[in-house]
Amino acid sequence: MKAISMLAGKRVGDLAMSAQDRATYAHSIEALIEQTVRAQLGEIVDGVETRFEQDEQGDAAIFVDVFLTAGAPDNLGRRFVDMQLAVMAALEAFGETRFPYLSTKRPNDDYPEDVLVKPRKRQA
Amino acid sequence: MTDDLFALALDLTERESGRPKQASIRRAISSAYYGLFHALLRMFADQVAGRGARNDDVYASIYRYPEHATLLRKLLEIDDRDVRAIAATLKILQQLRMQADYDPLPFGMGKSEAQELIIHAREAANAVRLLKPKQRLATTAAILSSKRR
Repeated sequence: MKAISMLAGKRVGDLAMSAQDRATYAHSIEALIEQTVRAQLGEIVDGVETRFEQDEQGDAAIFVDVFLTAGAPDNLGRRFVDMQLAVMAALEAFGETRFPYLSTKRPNDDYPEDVLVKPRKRQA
Repeated sequence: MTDDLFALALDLTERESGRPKQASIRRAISSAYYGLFHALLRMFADQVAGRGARNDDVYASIYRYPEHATLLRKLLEIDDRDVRAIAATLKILQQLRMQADYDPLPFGMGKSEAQELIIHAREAANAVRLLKPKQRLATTAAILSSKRR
């Protein structure tokens, strides 16, 4: 974790960061996010998927899909906000400045009739 | 108006029985974003111009002063959990609103997910109304500084 922590001061786009460093850093961010999400929501989390993309403002951002189990309540209410703030705080403490956009996905949700929903990635 | 926008947004998600149309979900998310955005603008204009000035032209000018893009950056810098929660919800909605309104790629959001977001937006708008005077002042100052170059 120490080696990963040393990378935290560098931004992913930095030229000084090698491709291997970038991959290691990305994995550490993914792990940190998943750990934080599971600490907040516990057993109702089925999986967490993270993507590093630009947002609509053109800023580098982190998109996090939180897949919930069938037993999750229809509305997480305050727990969603607490989870969002916890992930923001964890990333900031890590030196990460990209905003995390969290969303929750439920099994058997009704998706628009003209949208093909991609299947989830298999968890390792 | 903000409460009506949230009610409209929830109605849109129920417009079709079973699977919704993309257009319904897109318009619902856009309405939810503007519901929260207007709640914030109302608080800002009330703070600067006063509630008694709501029918004045100057009130409208102040209400329309903030810029969407820079507003959120300033709000997220405020070291206050309540304000950060409001700002984070608005930022998520802003991102989705732009996709909903402009992105031609399929808008892959389910009905339950949309409804939960709308409820979060409505709760955040209520949180704006419940901000304490000191929090309102900090938020107003952040909005005023958001146009500073």
